[in-house]
Amino acid sequence: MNRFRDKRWEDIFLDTFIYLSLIFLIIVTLYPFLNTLAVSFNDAVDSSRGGIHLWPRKFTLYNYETLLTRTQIYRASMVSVARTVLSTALCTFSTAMVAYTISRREFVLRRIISFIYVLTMYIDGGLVPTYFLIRALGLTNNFWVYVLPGLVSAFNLIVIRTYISGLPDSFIESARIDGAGEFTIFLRIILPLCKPVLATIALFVAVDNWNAWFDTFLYNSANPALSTLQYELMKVLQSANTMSGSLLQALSRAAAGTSNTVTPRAIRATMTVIVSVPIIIVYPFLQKYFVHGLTLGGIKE
Amino acid sequence: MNASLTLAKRGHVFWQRLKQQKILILMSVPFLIHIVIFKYIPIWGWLMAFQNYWPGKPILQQTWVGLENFRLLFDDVVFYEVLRNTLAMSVIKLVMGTVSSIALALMLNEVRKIRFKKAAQTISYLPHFISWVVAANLVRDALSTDGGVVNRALMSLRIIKEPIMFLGIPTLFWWVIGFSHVWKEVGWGAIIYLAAIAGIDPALYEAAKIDGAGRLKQIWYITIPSIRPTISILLIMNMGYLMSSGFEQQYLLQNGRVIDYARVFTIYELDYGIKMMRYSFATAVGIFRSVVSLILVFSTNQLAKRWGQERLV
Amino acid sequence: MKRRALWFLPLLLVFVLASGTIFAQNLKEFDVFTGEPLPDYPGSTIVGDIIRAETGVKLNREALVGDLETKVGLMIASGDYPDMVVAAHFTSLLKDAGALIPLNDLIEEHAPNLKRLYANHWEMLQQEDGNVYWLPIQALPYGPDTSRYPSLAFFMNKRVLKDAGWPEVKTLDQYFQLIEDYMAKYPTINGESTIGYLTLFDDWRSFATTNVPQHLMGYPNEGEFVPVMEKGRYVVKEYHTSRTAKAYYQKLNEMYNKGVVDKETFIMNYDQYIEKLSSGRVLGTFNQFWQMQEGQNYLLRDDPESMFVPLPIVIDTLVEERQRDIPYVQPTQGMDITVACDDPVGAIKYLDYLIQEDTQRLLQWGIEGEHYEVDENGLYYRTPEQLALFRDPDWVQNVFGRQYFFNAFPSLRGLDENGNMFFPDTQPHLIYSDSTDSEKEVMDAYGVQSFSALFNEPIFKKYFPLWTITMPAGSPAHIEETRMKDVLNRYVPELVMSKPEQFEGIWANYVKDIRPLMVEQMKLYQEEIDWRMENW
Repeated sequence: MNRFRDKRWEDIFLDTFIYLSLIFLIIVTLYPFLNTLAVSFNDAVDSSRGGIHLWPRKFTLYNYETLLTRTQIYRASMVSVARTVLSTALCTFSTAMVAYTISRREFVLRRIISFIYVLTMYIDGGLVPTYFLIRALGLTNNFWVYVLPGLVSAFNLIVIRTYISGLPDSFIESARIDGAGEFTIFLRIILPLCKPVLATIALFVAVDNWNAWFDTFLYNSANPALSTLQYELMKVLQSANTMSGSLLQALSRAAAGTSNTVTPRAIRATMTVIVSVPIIIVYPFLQKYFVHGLTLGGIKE
Repeated sequence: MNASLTLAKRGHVFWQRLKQQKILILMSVPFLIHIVIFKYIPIWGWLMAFQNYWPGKPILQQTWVGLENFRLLFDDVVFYEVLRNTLAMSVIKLVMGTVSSIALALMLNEVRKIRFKKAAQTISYLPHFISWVVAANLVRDALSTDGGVVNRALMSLRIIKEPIMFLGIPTLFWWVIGFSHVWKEVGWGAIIYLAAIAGIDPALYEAAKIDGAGRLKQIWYITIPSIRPTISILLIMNMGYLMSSGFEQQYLLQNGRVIDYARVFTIYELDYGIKMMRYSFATAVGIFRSVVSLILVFSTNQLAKRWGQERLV
Repeated sequence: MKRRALWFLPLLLVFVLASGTIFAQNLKEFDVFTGEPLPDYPGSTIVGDIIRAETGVKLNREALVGDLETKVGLMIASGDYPDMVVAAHFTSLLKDAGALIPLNDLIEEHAPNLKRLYANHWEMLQQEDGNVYWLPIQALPYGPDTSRYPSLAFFMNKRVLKDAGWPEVKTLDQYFQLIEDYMAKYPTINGESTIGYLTLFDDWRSFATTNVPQHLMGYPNEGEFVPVMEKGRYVVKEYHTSRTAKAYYQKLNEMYNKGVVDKETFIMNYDQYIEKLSSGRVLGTFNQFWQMQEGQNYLLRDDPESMFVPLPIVIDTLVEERQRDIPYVQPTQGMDITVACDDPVGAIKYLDYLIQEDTQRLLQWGIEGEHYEVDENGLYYRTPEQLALFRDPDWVQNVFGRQYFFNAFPSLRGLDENGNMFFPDTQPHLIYSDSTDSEKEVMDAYGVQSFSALFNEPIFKKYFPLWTITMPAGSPAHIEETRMKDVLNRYVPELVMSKPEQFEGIWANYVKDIRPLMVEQMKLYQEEIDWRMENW
């Protein structure tokens, strides 16, 4: 009787605490996004006065028009989609495969491979040598520079390895008794069990690739056909930045009279929305794996 | 005689096992070659640190200066300030970030209403996609003494009488960095722990329930121990990142008033290195950071080994 | 389902890669990198089509995204150069790396217009070896610009001046007295508390605060040091520890403690600065015009009574005010042709075509009868409809196409040979008439036709300005400069925000710390100024 009441109090206390905390968190984390959304739909010159919170004061689509009517934007989006899809698929698969090998305790190269990968997290040759390497490999002005260099990243590798090590050994043992080879075990048993962590890594890789513009800047900037969405948006942002301080602008009357003006602030907000909306749309497909997890009988399969 | 025999024998065993494991080797060694090419070959760039590198000449024809760049670094009073700031902010961010992300993952895991759980999880990671350039302005507005929401809230709760100039007080700057980091990254950081939680065998909870464990006890005795390897491994890996505490966040939130507490390595490298085309000096700073990082990582790894926790290598 | 998704991938890739091949025309092509960010060329614009038809040249442009240091560093390290480069303050580095070809002979033989129009600046462009390697992106062949606003000033809210009956304001004390009086009378504006004075201190923009002493001493913007005429020679002097600097910071300190200077002024960033200016409740600020223009634009459009009026303020009545810029070109950077260019003659001919007066007129004014008209005196003007077109930056950029041949390319400014301005917006007879009603009211009250006329005429100085001298990257003087700015950044907020009785002590420490960090720079500047005075 007493114990029963304790438990109910515990539940009520815990739930209240959790729901209040989460609601507070939702408010403080939703606000920046709604604010950015409002600024992106607000007249740029008007936004520079500040005070925009959740709703635009002077509604306009001009900011979106400025960004989305650039000549390169559609091709660049296709490149971004292509690199994101390819990288996500290839990286996640390769990383999981290497992670599986180094999670096997009996594998002789396990420590040396781990060591070599771990070191790469903390050492870096620098920009110039890397550029020389990429050029020597023929990867400048080449689509594959988006995919190949980051094929297996040490961080993701270790995260997946840790996850696999936490899985019960019995699955692998029984498979081995059935005569399954290592690759089959990896493909048929490990991969399905790893769905939550793979979804996480896929998300990390996808977001990194989707947001990347520096590799375009370094290696592919001379070839407009290989430009990426983020790079194109950066272009507009930077020209808005310099325009707002250029001699011509200083001498001209342009901005005073018209609403067809963009400011860096408006461009940044609009960029944020354009870039994050696709991620938000794709997100639920990955989310289900780590929110539901394997609790719904995944393991018994 | 005896020793060489066992050595030879051991060698034999090694080759035998290697043969047995050829599938595992086929699955990993190609990628090993890949990482060596892409990450290790460019390390020749470290030579620059011992030169007075000037772009336009091949690396071996540059003037060699020995340890001059390191001497310059260690002689610079600013360097010690930068070291202090970097470590302090990194530690604050690491501790606050880890604790809050784990707490969020645990809380989300306790939510039974699946719609709310999904919504809360999705919304909480949204700020991750807002770049610091945009986010810094929001932080500045919130902390402003001129009608900022934080000051207004604290004043209406009667916690303070006068608005506090949060960004203008040097000793508070590190904490502003810590809290704004949590705000922006807590949801994103929780994802990895959520994945770890999702991998826990449900049978464990069933067993605990039968034993009459309440929810708090389940969290304490099942959830946390199950994700401990993940926590431990992430902590070890992040120890190595203590020397790089981020760039944009500090750069965009700093101001003249707190500059002595805001400058971190990346800003230092930029101001005193890259912007002046002092590639050699910047490389020397980079090497110093790498060495310290590796020391930190491998000593924590040793500690983890001693404590029987999951480790890196 | 899944199989089909996989099919899609290679298809997508093929599409992406194939669509990269650009159809070829019989055009001469040049690769141009500009360190100035520019959106992509829309493919066809009014001026671009004319230029392409007349020259047969197509440019493959790459504009900067990211930072110039990295881009230029990689370019030099790898030796991968485009045909033409505009690399801002890294131009001389390209020359030192042997990336640039001398232009003198090319210009002599193939580019009569460049030769003629850059004649005024030719000596400035010659490097130690006597060759010219780059063309500054602007030339001033005939006469100077006129402008509505001076390039820098102490600005004051129009309300203050109007309320005080349009007084003459000359000194810093008078300026702050007016602000204090107005604040006492109107503690709130638009329902929010009045901000007396705002000074910008965000990152590299902090010169808006720290450069002020030289202007209070009457100088235009020279940079971190001022060359002072002494016995027929310009001697480089520092002003950061001058009596004027002390008086200025002490005044700001007094005003800060009185609540006139905004409490947050040293911790706000540029966006917040513009926000506050735009709110209409700021009474005064010092800045270069382009740094506060975004706020002014907003006010002119939506709150014209709170617009800012530039005032020629000096420290005391003994100082002679000469704050306006002397027209100058930036001789240490510009457009160049690299060793990678196969057809330097074609490249120089193209630049020669671009710079000639007719092309410049086309770029700035457009086509006569379509984009501008000529009055009976031969002066150009635009009808309201034409004006409306040119006030739409979108149209100017994407339909007309000016920026793509103006930004970063050699161009002309100032007066042309017929007494018209190359830049339409600076046409002298239009400055007053094109002003807004609110601006006209102020101009009328002070009896001037432009705000620049509130200031004295500048004095010609051959070397001007000091800040166009580039420090060798990574040199002791360069490192010293960075350290000096660090000291300024640390001390100035403290000087202003401390208690008045602490000021002297902080000032003494500041002087002690900053003095040793000026030696190398002054030496370098002095050498360069002497060189300029002798060779230009």
